[in-house]
Amino acid sequence: MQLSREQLEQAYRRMKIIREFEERLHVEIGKGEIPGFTHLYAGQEACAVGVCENLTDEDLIVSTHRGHGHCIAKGCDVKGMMKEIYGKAGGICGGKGGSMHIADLDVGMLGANGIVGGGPPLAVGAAIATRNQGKERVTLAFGGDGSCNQGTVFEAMNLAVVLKVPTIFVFENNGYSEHTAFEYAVGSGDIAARSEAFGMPAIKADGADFFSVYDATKQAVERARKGEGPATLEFAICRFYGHVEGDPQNYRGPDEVKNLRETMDCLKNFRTRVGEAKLLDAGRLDEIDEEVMTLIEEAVTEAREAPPPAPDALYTDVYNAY
Amino acid sequence: MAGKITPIAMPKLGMEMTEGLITQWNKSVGEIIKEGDEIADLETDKLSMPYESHTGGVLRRILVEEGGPYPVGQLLAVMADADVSDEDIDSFVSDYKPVESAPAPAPAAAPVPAQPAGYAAPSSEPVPAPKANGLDKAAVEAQIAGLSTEISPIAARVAMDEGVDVTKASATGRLGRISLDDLEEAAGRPLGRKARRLNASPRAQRLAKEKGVDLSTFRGSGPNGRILAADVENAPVAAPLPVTGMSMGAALPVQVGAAVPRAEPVSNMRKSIARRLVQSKATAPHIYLRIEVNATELLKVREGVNKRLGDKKISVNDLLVRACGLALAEVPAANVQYTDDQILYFDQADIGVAVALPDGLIAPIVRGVDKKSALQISEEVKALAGKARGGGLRPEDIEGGTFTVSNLGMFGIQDFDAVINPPQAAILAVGAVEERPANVDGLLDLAPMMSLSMSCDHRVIDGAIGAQFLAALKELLENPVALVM
Amino acid sequence: MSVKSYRDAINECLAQEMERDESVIVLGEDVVGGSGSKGGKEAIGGVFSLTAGLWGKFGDNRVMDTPISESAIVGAAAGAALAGMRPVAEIMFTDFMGLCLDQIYNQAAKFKYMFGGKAKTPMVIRTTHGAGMSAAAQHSQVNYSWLTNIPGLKCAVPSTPYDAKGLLASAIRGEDPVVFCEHKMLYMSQGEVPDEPYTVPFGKGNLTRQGKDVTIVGFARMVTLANEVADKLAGEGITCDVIDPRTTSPFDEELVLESVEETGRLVIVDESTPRCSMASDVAGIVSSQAFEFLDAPIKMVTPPHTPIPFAPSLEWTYLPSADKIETAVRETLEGR
Repeated sequence: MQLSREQLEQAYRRMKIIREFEERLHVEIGKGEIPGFTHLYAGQEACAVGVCENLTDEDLIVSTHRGHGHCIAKGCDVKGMMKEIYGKAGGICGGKGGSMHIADLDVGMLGANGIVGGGPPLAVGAAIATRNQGKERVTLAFGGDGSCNQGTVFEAMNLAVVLKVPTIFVFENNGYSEHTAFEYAVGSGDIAARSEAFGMPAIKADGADFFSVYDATKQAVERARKGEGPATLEFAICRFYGHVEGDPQNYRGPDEVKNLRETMDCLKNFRTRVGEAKLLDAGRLDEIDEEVMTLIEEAVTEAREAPPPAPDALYTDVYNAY
Repeated sequence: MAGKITPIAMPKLGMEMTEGLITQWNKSVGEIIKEGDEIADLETDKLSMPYESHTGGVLRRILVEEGGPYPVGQLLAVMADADVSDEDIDSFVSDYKPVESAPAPAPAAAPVPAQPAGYAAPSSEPVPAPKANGLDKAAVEAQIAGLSTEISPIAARVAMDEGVDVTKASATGRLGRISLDDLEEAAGRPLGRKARRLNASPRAQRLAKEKGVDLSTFRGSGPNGRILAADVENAPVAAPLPVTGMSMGAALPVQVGAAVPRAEPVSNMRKSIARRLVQSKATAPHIYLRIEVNATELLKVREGVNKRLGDKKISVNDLLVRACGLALAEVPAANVQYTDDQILYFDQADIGVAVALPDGLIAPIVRGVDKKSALQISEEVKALAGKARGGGLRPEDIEGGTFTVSNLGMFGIQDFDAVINPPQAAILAVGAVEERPANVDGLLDLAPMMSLSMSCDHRVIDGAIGAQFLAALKELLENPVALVM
Repeated sequence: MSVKSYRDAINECLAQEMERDESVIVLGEDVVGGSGSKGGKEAIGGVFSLTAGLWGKFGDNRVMDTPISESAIVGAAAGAALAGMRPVAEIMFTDFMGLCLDQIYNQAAKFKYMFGGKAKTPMVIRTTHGAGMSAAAQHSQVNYSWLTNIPGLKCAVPSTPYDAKGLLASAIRGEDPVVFCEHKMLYMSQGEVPDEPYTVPFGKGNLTRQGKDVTIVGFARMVTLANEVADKLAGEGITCDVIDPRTTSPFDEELVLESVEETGRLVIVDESTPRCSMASDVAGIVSSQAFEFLDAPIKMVTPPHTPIPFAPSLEWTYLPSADKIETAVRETLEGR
């Protein structure tokens, strides 16, 4: 483990922010405060953060409809995100994107995506750009197990191999394509093996363990930076909430979520691992928890109080010139 | 996609106008304005008229209260697209400099058809183009070549056709181009077909045709004065209004023995006549010039011609119309129209011939009289009079012209004065031909004499010009060979 | 200035724009041709040879053969654009847009708006459209009508070699995603084209004939037919304004409205099937905004609401023709 104390604290802080951001959204959505469709990332934090801790602002990611975690892990402004999800002025996309379309190009976040499988072709293109620009950047496409069945993803994986560009396909396998089980929908039952068949290496790892995610990603990123082409990462993980807020989750087994929260909570795992290895003490982590709770409280308060977007915003930014 | 800001400034509604009153704001801040909406009612010492918006937007600022007077060019209000910020409007207002002469809004009451209507079949003769302000096609073409902005090809064509000064036009069209709207704003009047087209819905046009109603006598109740089917449906006087105080039994004080009026609604045609006559008398200062003509030769020529024509006959009036056409060609200064900021000179004589109808009066127009034979004129007048009586006149039959001939001779009227038919500038009132003592070859004798009275719009035809015209006319009538050549 | 074909004008533009800006890249199926084959690269340069010679000048990193993967082609172009390139992707036939539509209308066209104005997606999708080669139902269509329906996307439909070169340069240099529709029946057409680079702005229609009696609006190859009809009728004294809008999005509705104000009659010639087409769109614009200037019903000359047939006899019946346009002009003059 070559992570410094600061890196570990940052990783924990970001995981905690994602968790509390999502838990709080669940509460506020329940109150009817937030418009639209929201897909919560709670439970999958170690994936986003374990991957993104390997990246710099220069590296690029494309995300999914379940994208809050990727945004926070990549460094998007948390308060701006909250305002965006509330549909307010000052939101990270001016209130015009919402939960499914958060983007911040300044930190290399090329956008969440409402279309399952929409992102991977974009990631290949972004990798062509970085290759031509002569930069040793990598581009990652996040996706769920549901996206692994989309033709666009197959096309993108093949094109990345053909052009040998630095694209990493990350599959967060949370066991459900919306309301349908992975076991049913993925015929071969193995996403990594599919990717290997396209001609790239693939690594499987425990998505509930930050350190396994980090290590697996590190291998793929180092390889891509050296110009050795694309790779796939498949992380087994669980989601604590439904596909979308309001999902009755009738597909879950008895006590499934309760058990997942007890056995596959990546934050608890992290605390245990760093405690056992005496890397960070519990007191420091508690302090971080408090800071995060304050941040989320402020984010919600500010989002609630922010005005709606100016009416004219409806018409702007359709074209650069028309 | 920067929004557009449109100033609303006190327009110059006449050559002498220097200031005007706002009698009423019809719109309030925040209201959406459509092109043609009447934003305010304006009044000068001469007339009152609405300020019609040339464009659409949102009324963002009203800068002056009702009342005034406010000088021409003063910024009264500001209209802008919804996406223009308040700061941009404020700085627009503070930076605003009145232009020398603000363009007049299109008058709402009486569109000035400058040219005959363009409905006609394709490849009809080109419409006579008034050389407004002396700009000819080549001059406009040169202006266009020197423009720093682009101009829409349609606007360029209209500008060349109508001699519009394109250098005065702003460029608010697509991609910073001078649009036809910009050109009209600069000219201060409708241009091209807009200026000569009757604005009536297709359904109204069909109804009018079916009912034989002349749409040109209507003022439409639709947007931009569009004549709607309902306007046509309501056209004929269906049932008399209930007579006041009788059928209703209302307690109106009725003098015993006094006449009891029968009330009928005013027909649209009557309304139109009333409005145009009032407009004429209110805006065109009339002067009246009289002359007597010895019709001896005229009658002889007519008789000779009619003998040769067999079935066809030409009338004294036909010869008169022809003579007026030739006289107008000889004295072009009398072949004009006056508009608020332009004098329009015409290169052919389009002359109205007044026809009495049971419920009014109408003057269909014979085009290019100066270039037509007496027989052609005679046939056209007959056809037009027939159409007028049958209700089959089309808008192009009555629009425009510079001159009208009104003849009450057949009713035995000796002489009279007529009211000018706007937008024309003159009318000739013709009395009966009757034997009166006259100087015949130096001797007092009876001769067939005819009294002519010319009413001139003094704004554009001075007495001397009118006199030149009448002299030419007298010469033609008394030596009438040219009339039948 | 010299006479060039529509094809050569486009090829020249691509080469000049790639020379001018190294962020311009070309990708698509067979745009080089022969990649990985025994015969070697430069096997074809695009199935209609529009990209011939580019690989030789600019190399592997800027001219890329792709697998037959339309989604990946357009998606990669969009991603590259987001990351600072100016990709020119080729979709071999516009009929294949169905395969990559998501990447066009949910991704590229919407980034700027969805992301609150922070993203730019300067990319061009070049494609071939149009019937007349017996290429049948899946290789002959025009799609510009429904592409025009997509906010955030622009669409060009050049009808001459001059416009093809100038509009493509505008598309490549512009900051918005563009679908650039090249008519396969026009590739051989000839016209004056300057040798040096130049641009033709989007949204500026071209008045190709001037007249007083009828306005004819045509799109893409239909402009050439409309011009033909206008020239013929001029001999009878019937004169027409012919408008080539050149781009369907943005659309120069101002020019069309001004012309109709002056003529009072409108015939629209569109190679799209009639429902929800540019023809019906322009008819809607004019009837709602220039109602009071119309002297006759608006005429639309379009194919019928059918797929495109293979048999040449049926295909030519399907397509608008000069005769059909002439009939429509005469009918509108009669007020029918």
